[in-house]
Amino acid sequence: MRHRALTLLTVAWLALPAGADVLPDAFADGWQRDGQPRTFTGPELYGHINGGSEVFLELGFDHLLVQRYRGPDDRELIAEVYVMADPVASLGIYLLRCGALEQPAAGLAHRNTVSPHQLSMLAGNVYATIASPSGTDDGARAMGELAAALALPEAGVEADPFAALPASERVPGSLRIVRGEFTLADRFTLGEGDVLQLARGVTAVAADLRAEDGTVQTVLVALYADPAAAVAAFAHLKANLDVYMKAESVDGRSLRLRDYREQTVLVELDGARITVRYDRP
Amino acid sequence: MRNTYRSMNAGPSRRGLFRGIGAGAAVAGGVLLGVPALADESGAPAPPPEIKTNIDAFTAVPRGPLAIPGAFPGRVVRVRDDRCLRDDVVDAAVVREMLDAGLAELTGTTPAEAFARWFGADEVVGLKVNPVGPPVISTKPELVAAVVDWLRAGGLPARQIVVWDRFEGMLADAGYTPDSLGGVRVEGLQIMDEEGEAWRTADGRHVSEDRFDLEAFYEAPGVTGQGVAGYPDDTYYLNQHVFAGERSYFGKLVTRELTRIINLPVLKNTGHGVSVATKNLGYGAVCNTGRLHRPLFFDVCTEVTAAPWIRDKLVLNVVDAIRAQYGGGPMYDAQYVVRPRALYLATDPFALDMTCHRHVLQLRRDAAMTTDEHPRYTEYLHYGERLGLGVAAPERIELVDLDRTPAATP
Repeated sequence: MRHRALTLLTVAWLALPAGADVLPDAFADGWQRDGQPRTFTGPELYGHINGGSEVFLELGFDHLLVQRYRGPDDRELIAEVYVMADPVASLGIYLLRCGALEQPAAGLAHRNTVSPHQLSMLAGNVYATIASPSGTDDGARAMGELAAALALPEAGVEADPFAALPASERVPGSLRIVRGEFTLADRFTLGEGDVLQLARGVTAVAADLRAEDGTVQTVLVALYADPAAAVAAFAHLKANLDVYMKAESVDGRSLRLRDYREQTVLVELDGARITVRYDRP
Repeated sequence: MRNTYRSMNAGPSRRGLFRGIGAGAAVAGGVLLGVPALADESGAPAPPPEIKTNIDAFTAVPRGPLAIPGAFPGRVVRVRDDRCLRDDVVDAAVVREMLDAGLAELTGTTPAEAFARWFGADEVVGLKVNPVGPPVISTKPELVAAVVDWLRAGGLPARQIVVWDRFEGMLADAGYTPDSLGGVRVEGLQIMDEEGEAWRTADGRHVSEDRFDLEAFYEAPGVTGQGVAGYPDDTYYLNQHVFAGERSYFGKLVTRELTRIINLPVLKNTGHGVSVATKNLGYGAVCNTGRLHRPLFFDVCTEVTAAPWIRDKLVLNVVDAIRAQYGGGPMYDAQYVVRPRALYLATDPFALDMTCHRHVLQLRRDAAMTTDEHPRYTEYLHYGERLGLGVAAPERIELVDLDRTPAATP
C-alpha cells in the first residue's frame, strides 16, 4: 500500500532485501546460529505473534526473520528482524513500542533502546529486537555484539515526518505515526474502526504538544490525497463518533466535542487536512 | 464492522443503549453523536447488526456449586514480598510462602483447609498459565511449582494435575516440562505435527482437530476467519484457527478431563486494557480466536469465562505479579517491565481483573505514560457482573494488602 506522508519527504534509504542475509552465521566469540531462520511474510505474521500483529500490518509490514543463536555456556539469544514497507513504517513501530520510555545504549550505530533482557533497534526500513533470556551482563554484551553484526540498512527518514507539529512544543516520547485504527487507538478514542479513513493510504502524525502556559494537548494531523478525501473522512468521523462523545458545536468544517472525561476535543477540516486536538487532563 | 460496546448492554440492543444515553445527554444539554439520526444525516451506513453470540446457552445452564465468583465475591488479596526476586532471579521458597499466606488470607483458613474446600481425591486440576514472553513476563515456573506442591500436599497425585495453555510449543519455551514439575502433565490444546513444522496433515486437516470438543463451543455468527479485517484467510492464522467458521470449540481437556481449574495469569496490559484473569481463560480455552479479536475482543473474555466448562470449574485465580508489564505488548517489551514482587489471589476473576486494571493504570501514570480510562476497556468486567460472575464495581471490591517483606534492620 502506498502511504502519503504529511510532508514531501525526501527519503533516502536502502531497503533490506527479503533474504536472510541480514543475519550473521556467527559473531563474537563462540556464538552461532541455532537452526535455520524462520520467515513470516505479510499476514503470516499472525503465525508468530500471538496477538499484536495488527499494528505491524497496519503500518506496513513486509516480512519477519526469526533466528536463535547459541553461545558459550549454552546461552541463548533470539533475533527478530521486522522488515517494514518503508522507513516511516519502521519508525512507527519503533515509536509505538519504545517511544514512551527510550533507554538507548551507547556505542550502537542505530537508534535503540535496551534493557538487560532486550535490545530494540531502528534502522532504515527495519525494526529489530534481540532478546537475551538470561538477562545477565554477558547476555547484554552479546546482544550488543549481535546488533553490530546484523547487516542493517544505514539510512532512514531524512526529512522530519513530524514537521506539521511544532518541534518546540513536542513532549518527548509522545511522537507517533498513525496509519489506521490500531495505531490510532494508542492515543485517541474518537470512534470505532478506521474512523479517520487512514487505511486508504494516509499517514497521520501525532504528538503531545505543551503550550507556553503548560497545558498539554494531543494533536493529530492527517493530510489526505485531496480535499474531497478529507471531506469524506470528516463526514465518516461525524457519523461514527465514539458513543460517549457529546457535541458542543458542529458545522461543515469543525466539530467541538466533549469526551467521556469531559475533556474538549476539537476536529478541524482545512482543505486536504484534518487536525484533531485533544485536551489532556 | 461491529462496535465494541456490546458488553455495556447485555440486555437491550445497542440501539436501545444509544437511545438511553441520548436521552440522558439531552437532559444535560448535550447532543450525542454517533446516534442513528446523525448517521442518517451524513449518509453513512447504519450500524451493523448486533452479533448474537450463544451466551444465552451458557447462562441457561444451572450454576454448579463452586461457580464463580465462588465463596469470596469481590475479595482480592495482594501478597508482596521483596525477597521473591533476588538479583532478578525468582526465589521459589519465598513464592511458596507468599502463596500459602495468600491462601490463608483469602479463605480465612490454612492452605490445607483451603485445599479441602475445593478439591476431592478424584479431581483432575488444570493450571492455566500464560507462557507468552518467557522468561520475564510469562507465568513463572516457580509459582506453578508452588501450586503443584500445595495440591500434592493435599493428597492429589501428580498425574491428576495438568499445566495447560493453548499452545504446546509455547509451554516448552516457557520452561514447563513434566520433568521440571515433578511429573505433572503439560499439555497444549494446539499442536503441530511431530516434526514441529506443519499445522496441517497431508489431507488438509489441522493436526489439532481431535483435541477440540465439537459439542462445546462459543459461537459468533458472521464472524469468521475470512472477511474480518486483518484476517484475510484462516491459512495465515493456523496457530489460532483450527477450524474455519463461526464457532470456537473448547478443548476436550477443559470440557471432558478437568474437574477444577486454577488460573495463573500474569499482570500485563493489552493496549489500554489488561490481559489478566479473564483473558487468560477467554482466549486460552477455545480455538479460532483470531477472528474474534476485532469485533468481540473483550466480550470474549467474559462470555467464554461464562461457559459452564469454565464458570463451574474455576475455583482459584493467582496472578503472577512478581514482574509485570504495563506498556507495549502483548509480546515482551522490556522497557515496560516492572517488578511489583506480588501475587494477587481471588476466587472472583472479575474483581481481580478490575483490581489489576487499576494497578496497571497506576504503573502507566507512574511512568508518565498516556492512560486512557475510556469505559470500553472495563465494560466487559461490568458485563460479567451483570451475568452474576463477579464484582466489577471498584467501590465494592475489597483489596487486602499483605506485605511480607521484613522490615529493614537499622
